[in-house]
Amino acid sequence: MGIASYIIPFIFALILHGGLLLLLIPHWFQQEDPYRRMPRHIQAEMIDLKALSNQENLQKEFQEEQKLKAEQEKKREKIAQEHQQALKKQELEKQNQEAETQHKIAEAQQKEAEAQQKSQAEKQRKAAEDKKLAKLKEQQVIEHARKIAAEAELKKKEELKEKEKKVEAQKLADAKKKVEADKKSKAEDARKKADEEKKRKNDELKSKEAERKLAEEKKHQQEADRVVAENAAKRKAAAAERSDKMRAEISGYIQALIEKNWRYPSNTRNGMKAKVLIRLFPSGEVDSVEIMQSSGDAAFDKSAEQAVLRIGKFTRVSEVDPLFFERELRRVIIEFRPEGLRW
Amino acid sequence: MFKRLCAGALLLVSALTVRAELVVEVTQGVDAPTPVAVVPFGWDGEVLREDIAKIVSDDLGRSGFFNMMKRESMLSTPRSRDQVFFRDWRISGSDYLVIGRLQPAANGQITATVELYDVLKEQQIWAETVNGNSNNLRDVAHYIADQIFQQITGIKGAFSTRIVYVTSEMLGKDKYRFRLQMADSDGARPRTILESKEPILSPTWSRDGSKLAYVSFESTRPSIYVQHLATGQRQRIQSFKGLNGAPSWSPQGDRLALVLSKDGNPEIYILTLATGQLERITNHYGIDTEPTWAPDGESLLFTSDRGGMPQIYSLQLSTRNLKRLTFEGKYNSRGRLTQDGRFLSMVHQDSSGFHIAVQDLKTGRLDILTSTGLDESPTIAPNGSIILYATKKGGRGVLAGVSLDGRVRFTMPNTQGDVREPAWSPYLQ
Repeated sequence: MGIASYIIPFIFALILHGGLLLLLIPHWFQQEDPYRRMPRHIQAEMIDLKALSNQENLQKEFQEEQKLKAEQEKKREKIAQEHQQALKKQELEKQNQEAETQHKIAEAQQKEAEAQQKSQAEKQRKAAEDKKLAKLKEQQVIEHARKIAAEAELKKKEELKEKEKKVEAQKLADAKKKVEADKKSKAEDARKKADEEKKRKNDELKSKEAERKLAEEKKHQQEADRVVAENAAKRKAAAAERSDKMRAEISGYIQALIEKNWRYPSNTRNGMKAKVLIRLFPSGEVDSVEIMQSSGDAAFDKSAEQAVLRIGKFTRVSEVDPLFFERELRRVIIEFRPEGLRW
Repeated sequence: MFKRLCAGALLLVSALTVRAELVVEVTQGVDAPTPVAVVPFGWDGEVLREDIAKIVSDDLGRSGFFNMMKRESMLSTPRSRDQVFFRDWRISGSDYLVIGRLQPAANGQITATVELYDVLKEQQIWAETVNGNSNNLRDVAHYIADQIFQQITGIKGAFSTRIVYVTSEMLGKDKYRFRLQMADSDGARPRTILESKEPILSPTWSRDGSKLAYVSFESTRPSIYVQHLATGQRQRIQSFKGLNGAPSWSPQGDRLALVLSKDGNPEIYILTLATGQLERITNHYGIDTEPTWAPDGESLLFTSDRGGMPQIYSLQLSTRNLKRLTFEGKYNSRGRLTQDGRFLSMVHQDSSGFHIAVQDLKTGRLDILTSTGLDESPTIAPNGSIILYATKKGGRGVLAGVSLDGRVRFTMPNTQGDVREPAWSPYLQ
């Protein structure tokens, strides 16, 4: 790598800069206005409402479009939000359900435990009672022993037996009760499970529906976008057509006005031609007039210039769309090319 | 790499040239003279002999190029720039405004300061200070008119030129007084150059405006004379038997075309003044008369009835190539060309009489400019703007003018007697 390797890039850079400079020069010169602008006394004027309404229409259209877009955007957002909310809700519900089922299970277990405890306590209580009773009875028996020893003993035995029977029955009833409770809780569980399943299925269906809806919405959106794009294209075409129409209209207007105001000199001959550049203000007022291409005849050139100056203001120019004005009317070239003269 | 550069450059160029401009073609306009206002010039001294502003205004108005604003219509009479309200002038329809002021200077001199404004642009176009005295105020006025005319039209003004013409008065039975007179281009200040009891015909100017040639019958038969205007010295050039007439000075001033009938019937000859050598140009049994030079001096135009009726022909001197120029009508005579050689003025006869007509030699189009029935002797101003001719008004011969486009017609101020045979001078030094 030596200095030589920089030569080619350097030359390229030089060419590029030179080229850019060359390209920009005409632009600068175009911008540079040799015509010395004189400060003009501009008179205030009543604004033509008709002129404004045109602009308003355009603005309205634009606003409407914006609105439509915003609405669609909103709709889309809403749908997405809804979808998310639905999803969230589902999740929440699921969680809630789970919690509930757990809670229920816990309750059932607690109930069971309580029942067991109760039955045990009863048993114990009964046992204690029984004991007490037995003691009392024993005492009674001791008291009565003397009276009715044998009888008492028998009776006691029978009573005991009966009591045992009773306890057994109680025990059986308890067990029965327990089984029933179990059964009940189980049935409840099953029901709940079924419910859950149902709900899940339902949710699934719902989410599917939402998805479908979303997809549909998306499709709608696409369709809407397409329509918007199509409309935009249509509008563009319409605008082009409108601008063509506007161009034809405004140039017809300018032409008619100038023809009415162009007093060509006596020595004007067929075939003479002069080009005049007019700079206009958006109000239609003439900013400056400049001979772009002389006819070679001073009087002819002057008459062309004066035709424009005599008009002073192209009123209808103020009615056109500002964009169109910027594009086509800020600088207007008038070609004076008399036809059908005597000479 | 290079391709990319090119593409970039192309993009830049296209970006630069995107700006569009509306192009409107205008092919019709108003065929009307330019409105100009000449404000009376300011002067604080005693009343002057001439109203300079009026002379200027009349001069300009007569040219056919301008429509002069009447003084009564003027809203103000500014003397200087600070008194000018362009809006007023614009509203009153003037495209140009002339203001001026006169001031006395030393030795009885008068200084005229004149300014010309473009009303629509609100700009001064021209300003000049001219010196004069009370005796030549008309000259000052014509000079100013010339300058204004040139400033606005781009054509040199011809108001400072002169005209000559012949007047005839009947003093008694068979007693006439003929006068060769010279006046300003507007007919003012006539002065007599020659007075004679016998007819004077066909005065013609030398190209430098210093001499006149004319035909005089003072020696019973027509002779051609050349007279120096500065000295009044005159010289008889030709006096052959028969007709000696219709002299015409060549553009170079060294030769004279004339008509002589010394060889039988009228033919065109060229006389070289320095040597007196005569050269016969035409040779036809018909009448050839009224020669006039083309501005380039290469050909002669003349009237001839060789075709049966008087028509105008052109003869190339180097090749002797003859060309008939007029075809419309039965009678076309007395051709005169504009300095650019494009327009031929003539006397044209139609069913209503003899009129002044102009033919565009480029297109062949003929336009009849006058409606009076006995018009003759057209002569064109050196700038080609006006044709002066003789006509009859109230049974009397008068001079009248018509602009080349026929827009403006005017009659010259009355002089004594019948006026005929006008001849417009070239530009005078």
